[in-house]
Amino acid sequence: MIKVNFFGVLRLDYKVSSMDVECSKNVTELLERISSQKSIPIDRLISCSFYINGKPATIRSRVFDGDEVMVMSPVAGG
Amino acid sequence: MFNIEPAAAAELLRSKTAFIAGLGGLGGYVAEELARSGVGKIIAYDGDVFQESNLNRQLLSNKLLLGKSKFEALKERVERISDTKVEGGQVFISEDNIDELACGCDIIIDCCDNVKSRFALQSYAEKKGLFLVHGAACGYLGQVSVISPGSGTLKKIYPKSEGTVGHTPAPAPAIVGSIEASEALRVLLGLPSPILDKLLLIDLSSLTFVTLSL
Repeated sequence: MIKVNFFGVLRLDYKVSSMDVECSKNVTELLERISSQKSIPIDRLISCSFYINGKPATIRSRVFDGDEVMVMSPVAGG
Repeated sequence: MFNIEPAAAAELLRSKTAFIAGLGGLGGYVAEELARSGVGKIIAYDGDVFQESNLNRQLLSNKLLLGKSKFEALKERVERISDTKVEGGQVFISEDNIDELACGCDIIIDCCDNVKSRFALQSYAEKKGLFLVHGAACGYLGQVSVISPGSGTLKKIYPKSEGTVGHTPAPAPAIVGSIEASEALRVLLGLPSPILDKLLLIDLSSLTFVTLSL
């Protein structure tokens, strides 16, 4: 199980802060499952930044059972 | 202050100049706190005047100042607080004017409301070997980073050169601005920052604070 934490505008728009997802491949597959389960458009997810266990990652990065993945969309207001 | 003998810290801060880009939700708090901390000079720019929508969160605003320059409001306010000198003006920061406007400062503090201006600040900071204190807020969310010159950290924060802006109540800009001010003071005193080239993420709705390595 992958623990997914959301930060940034996804929290505001979709009222989602965290979820557990079954995934054994990579971030791409993880995003597809999140999109399906939470009805978040996949392009919104792909436009985010990703961190696996606190380290930068890409959509091609592998994920393993027990990983914590952060899906982050930055804010820009001042 | 940060375990530095107070008189020594005060003398050092008096010799420093801080450049603040933007005097809205973030910049008002940053400027206020640097002035109260005795920074020698603030150079600040914002091309805006106050609007009614600013009243919910912008420290420098009040009903009597609607339509007035944010920079002029800062100048008057700091004159009543401390001996901190204030220079700058009612100008929007861009890559075309930053070299001239930020000349002579010891640190760059990002209180902008758009990503493009932020990248202009990073380019200038890199060119001059200066640290950039980045901050942003939206809703109950915020983020802060201290960016070392040449690290390119801002591109990791905004990989698609875009970020969200929107309705923002009072608390997030106040907290983000205060952390920016605190980190700016730390940098001016020559101390290491715990968020150097990292990103502190803040969610006030759940009181969650997360530091990401970038």
